[in-house]
Amino acid sequence: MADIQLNSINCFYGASQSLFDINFSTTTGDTVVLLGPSGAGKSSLMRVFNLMQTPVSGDLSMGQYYFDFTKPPKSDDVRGLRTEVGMVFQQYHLWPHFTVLENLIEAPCKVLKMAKEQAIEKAMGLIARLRLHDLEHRYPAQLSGGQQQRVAIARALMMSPKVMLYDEPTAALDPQITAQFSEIIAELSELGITQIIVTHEIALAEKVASKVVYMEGGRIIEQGDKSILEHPATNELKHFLLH
Amino acid sequence: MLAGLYGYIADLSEGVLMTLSLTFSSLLVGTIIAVIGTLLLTVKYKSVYWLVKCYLTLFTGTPLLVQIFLIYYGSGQFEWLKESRAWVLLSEPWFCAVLALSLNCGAYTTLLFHGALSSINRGQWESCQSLGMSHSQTLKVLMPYALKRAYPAYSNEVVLLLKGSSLASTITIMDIMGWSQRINAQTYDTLMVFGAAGLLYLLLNLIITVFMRLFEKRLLAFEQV
Repeated sequence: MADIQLNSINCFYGASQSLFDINFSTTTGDTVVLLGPSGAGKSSLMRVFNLMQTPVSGDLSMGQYYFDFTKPPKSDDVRGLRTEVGMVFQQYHLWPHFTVLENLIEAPCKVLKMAKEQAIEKAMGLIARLRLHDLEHRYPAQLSGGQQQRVAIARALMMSPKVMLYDEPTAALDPQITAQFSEIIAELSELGITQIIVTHEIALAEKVASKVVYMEGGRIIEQGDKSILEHPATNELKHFLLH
Repeated sequence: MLAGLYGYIADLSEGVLMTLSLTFSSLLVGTIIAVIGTLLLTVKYKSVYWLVKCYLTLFTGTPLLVQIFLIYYGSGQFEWLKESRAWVLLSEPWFCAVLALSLNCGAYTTLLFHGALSSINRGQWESCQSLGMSHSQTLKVLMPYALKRAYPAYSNEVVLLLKGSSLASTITIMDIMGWSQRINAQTYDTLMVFGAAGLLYLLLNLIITVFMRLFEKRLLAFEQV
């Protein structure tokens, strides 16, 4: 189960506040799209879900984990949470000196202490599922952008996460690859994985979202199911949808 | 003239093995020091960090010849050291030369490896963190990447070390330079003797460079598109 709840989250990036009193909840299997213009705080909010950014106040509960940010979180708990929350970065950040297969098996072997043979078997399964056949011995520099993204997704899925985070996943991809990405999101959603996607592309939100959160200036302006994209309640979202 | 040069090269080649043993022993120890130094620079303890920084400043800021003299001649001025078991080693010119060369090479290589590690994109560190890796697990993933990236500059360090090993002749070691000085004292044919020594060093460096470049191609295969 990966129901997620955030209460009264406030975050600072250096001296400036990046998130203001964020309240948010989602249920297992949801595909949440964080929508908004640049600098809205979408990425900052997403980085709270795996504690790559630690809030100064508020609390987060996700499955068995609960963090009250008035106290510094324990590093063991943070690492534990991160094994359950996969993240796909905008630039993918694959390890360039490892082949595709090595990229996939490194974390499960090191962090989850999975046997190498078992990790390879699981990796080969994901390679097939994400249509990366015959690429397992290639290095990231020898792959296209779309292939690198699928390797990044596979690397995160190797940890059997309950939640997946994607930062601007389609920003650098052509429409065909974007369509493939949408298919992957739909497949993972059927498996019950909660997914949170940061984007400013309305078309992607319309295609994959079960829930939409619209942000501006570090605040949630409006949130609800996909229908808010057709019937926005706030002027800010209306204005955003028009541009 | 050429016959004389060949003759001297043949005479000096007696010192080649010593030059190579100095270079590769120091390279091995220096690289181990550098890996440890680089890892220590990433730990959170300020005292450890500053200790390593002091070592780096000392060994990159003073001439190699001074370091060799301090270790070889300087250690003999401490009675307690002469009475200790370490004196068996410290009274040996070869050991003192390798120690000085290793510490010197270790300092420069630490700077090189640490520079390569620091220049790794922040996203790479974050990708390790996001998968739940600890600091040591992250280093196990990213350190080999840093070492591979540092390799081209590291091969220059090997060449510098080979040339630097010639200073060991000042503490009675009979390497190429040691033999050159002996033959020169016997013949006074300075131009030819040291010309032959220069050619030998050049030849050794060429061979090492070719091997290093071949290995570099394999090591950095992951960068080829």
